Amino acid sequence: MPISILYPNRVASQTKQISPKMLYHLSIDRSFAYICADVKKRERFLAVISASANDEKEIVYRQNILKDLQKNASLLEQLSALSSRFEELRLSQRNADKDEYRLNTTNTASLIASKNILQAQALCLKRALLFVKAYGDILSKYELESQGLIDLYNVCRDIYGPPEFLKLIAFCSKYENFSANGFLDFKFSLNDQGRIQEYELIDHRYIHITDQELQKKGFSLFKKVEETNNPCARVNSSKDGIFESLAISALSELSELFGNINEQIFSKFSAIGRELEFYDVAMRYINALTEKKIPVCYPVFSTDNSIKVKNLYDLYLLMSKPNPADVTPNDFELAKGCPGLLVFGDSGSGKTVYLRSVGTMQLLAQAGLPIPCESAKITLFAQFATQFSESEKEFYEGNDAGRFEQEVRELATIVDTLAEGALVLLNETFQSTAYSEGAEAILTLLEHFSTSNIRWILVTHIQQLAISLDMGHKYKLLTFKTHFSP
Amino acid sequence: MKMSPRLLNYSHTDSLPHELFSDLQLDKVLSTQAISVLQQPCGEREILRRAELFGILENAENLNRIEMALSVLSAAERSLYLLNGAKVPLDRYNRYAEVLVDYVNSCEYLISMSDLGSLFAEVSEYFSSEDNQRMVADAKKSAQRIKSLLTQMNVGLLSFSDKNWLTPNYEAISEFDSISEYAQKLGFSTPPKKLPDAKINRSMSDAICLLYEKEVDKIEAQLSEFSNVDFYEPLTYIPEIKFFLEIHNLLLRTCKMGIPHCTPTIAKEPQYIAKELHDISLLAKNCEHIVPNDAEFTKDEPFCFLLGANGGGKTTYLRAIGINLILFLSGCPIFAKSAEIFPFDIVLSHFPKDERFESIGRLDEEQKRAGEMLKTASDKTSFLLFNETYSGTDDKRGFDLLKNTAEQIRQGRHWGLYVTHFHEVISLDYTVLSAQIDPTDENKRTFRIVRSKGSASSYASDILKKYRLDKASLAARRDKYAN
Repeated sequence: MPISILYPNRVASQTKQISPKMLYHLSIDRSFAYICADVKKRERFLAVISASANDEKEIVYRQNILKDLQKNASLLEQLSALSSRFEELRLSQRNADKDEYRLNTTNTASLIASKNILQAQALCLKRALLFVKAYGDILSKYELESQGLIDLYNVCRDIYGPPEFLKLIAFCSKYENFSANGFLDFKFSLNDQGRIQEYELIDHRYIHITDQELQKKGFSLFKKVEETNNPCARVNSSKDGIFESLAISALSELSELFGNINEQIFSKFSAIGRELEFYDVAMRYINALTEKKIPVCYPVFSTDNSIKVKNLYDLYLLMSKPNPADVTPNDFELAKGCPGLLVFGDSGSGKTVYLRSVGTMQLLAQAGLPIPCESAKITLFAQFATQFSESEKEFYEGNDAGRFEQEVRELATIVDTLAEGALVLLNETFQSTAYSEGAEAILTLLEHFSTSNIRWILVTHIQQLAISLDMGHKYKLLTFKTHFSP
Repeated sequence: MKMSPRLLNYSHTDSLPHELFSDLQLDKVLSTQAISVLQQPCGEREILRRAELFGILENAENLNRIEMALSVLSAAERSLYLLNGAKVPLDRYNRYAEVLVDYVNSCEYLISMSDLGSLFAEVSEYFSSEDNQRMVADAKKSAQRIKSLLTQMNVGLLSFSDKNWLTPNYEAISEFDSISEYAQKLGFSTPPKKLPDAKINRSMSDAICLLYEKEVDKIEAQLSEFSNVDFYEPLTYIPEIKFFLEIHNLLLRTCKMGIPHCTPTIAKEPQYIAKELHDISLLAKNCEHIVPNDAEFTKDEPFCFLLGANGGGKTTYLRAIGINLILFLSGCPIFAKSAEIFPFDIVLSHFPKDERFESIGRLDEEQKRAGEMLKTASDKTSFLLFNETYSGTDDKRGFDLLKNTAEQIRQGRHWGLYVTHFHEVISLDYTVLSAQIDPTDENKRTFRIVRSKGSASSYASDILKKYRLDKASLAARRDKYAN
């Protein structure tokens, strides 16, 4: 199983992915475009955000790695540089498996080709093993506190620590310089039907030959006092190609063994480089906030589902406005048992910014990142959804449904998808229709979410909602007043 | 020198023509080897002995023993085949050791089958002779000795450089094993080794034989003791056992479909009486519902004509008669509830064969073939099967020819069945059967072969009923749609 410094207890693909539309609605993609210019790296970072975690241990695991990286300034740089070279080796090995440079030894036609392949595989394994040692050497230089980096170090140490590591390296060195003109020695065995069932490469030290012809001719210049007569027989050369074919099989088998170990190393460490990119962007994010003198806070987790965030900033405004002082922070609170939050306000008063800052905060926190606020005690959500009212022009091509129908369709998908423990963010939902119809529809929905234990935040200017809620609905709602930006 | 007894012994009567089997489509149900056995009727004594063996096969334990015998003999056959293909000495020694082992197994197995009927008892007795027992014991010892010697020679080291050498292997560890061991200690898994399974070549064999000269001499000495042994002798039972197993498997298959089988009583006088006779050639068409019919060919009615609607099962009936008669003549169980049959001297068939009309016309060809058939049948107790012979010409000419043939059949005192659509045959002094709808079948789809009442109109009525265009069916159809 690959080592992961992001997902200690799971596979990323097993998580429920957040819709890319949600990142768009919350402008998280735009915010991080200011932080990291490298598009691919940013996309991979956002992919991690999308695979949101609702496991507190996993979030703390990442938080601690980030804290280690913050504390040891050059650690990330060193690990990233090494990972980059490791990735190069992995890719070159993968590409060498193709076409004329293939390292796939099956059906290799000639002995020379199979020797070359064996050399290449041995060299590659040696380098891969040394990379593992290099990871360990880097990590050993720092006083690490995060479980993730300590685990990574331990995995490396388990490989390069035992004496067999050097023996394996020695074997790699031996075959890295394997000569086509030297000895080729094999052990064989025949089965009870007289067929060759084993034919394997051996070291030449096992071969003990007494060449009678040389003895007769007196070729031995350094003749010992007592000659050992080793039993042996000459093997005539054969034109049937069996010896060559068997030698190719034996060399190929060894190549495949090297290749197999190689693959295991690549597979084990392949995720590290990509995952370090997440931490790289995360560090840039922290640095960007720090440079703007914005407080950075690792959230803690409430045990009663309550949320209390003090002076929360909207990330997009922070990144897009030249002067961070122009951005006003807001508090956010959702008490224990409170199913949702209605946000009223005049147009341009900052309702949507508020909703966005809450959504962004929740997503970043659940990805293990610190958030721009003074203090934060949050709860975790299993799923997220957003429904933001969009202009008609943004409707996708070929959709002849009206705006209201489009919203209903979106919400129907949300209702189908979301389960207990989710958070849904609604922005000006159902305001395209008649005032009373919209109010009625959204009330029904909110009631559904509340009874389904799905928490919600609705930004709206349908004042009737508050009246309706006051007029005897079973559930209770808390309405927060926000400090709007001027 | 005493010959080994056979499981399949034949009488010295004429063999059945191959076209009989293709006409009856038996070649689509049975293998060519089985057909070649069925081509040789075996006579009354062998019918009884084979029937005894088929009865023995009904017991699962006995069946298992005979299948095992076949497996042992097949292994011996394979060993001999490989020995013949062994071109290099070491390969030959290994193969020879296998041949000896398999020969011993074969003989011992055949000896152990004395309780499986008179046929196997004879075989067992033959292989139990003192000479044979001694030879088997010697072969067993020699095989062990040779294998023991070969075991010493079966491992070694090969070194290739400017000169190539072979040495004994004392303790060499392969590079693969060493690397695997280190890798595993570091937590890596290693792939399983691939076994090459290659044939040894001459130079490797020569080198091994040179290195182990004394052992080779001992092996050669062992082999020379068996130069006069006929290792093929037990293998002659392979096709014979296969025949019995093939027929038995056919019985099992049909049994699952609810088709009965029986061992017919051998009639002292010519006759062919059977209850619920099935045409098993329909198995080749994956037909699951095979309609049984009775057969009754007696001294009073030795030859019958069969009339009936197209698709009424006339040819099926003809095949059922023919196939089961052939099986009986070779001592096999037949597919009927009960039967009493005389072992006829020969069975012949006359079916239309379009592909033969190259130099002469169809009618001429049919006439010629019918003439040859009657000639072959003369002076024998023959059973003849005709299928729409002379149907390729106009009714008058065809019926005239049929009448002529019928006269020859009468004169030759032949037995058999003639399927035709010339309903004028009812005017002849022969028994006429017809395929008529089974009144007990609600779907009106099953035809039964019955003694004909001699009414020509029944043909038209049958056809109409078959396609549900008869008055009643049409009325029922109208009612159905009206409602």
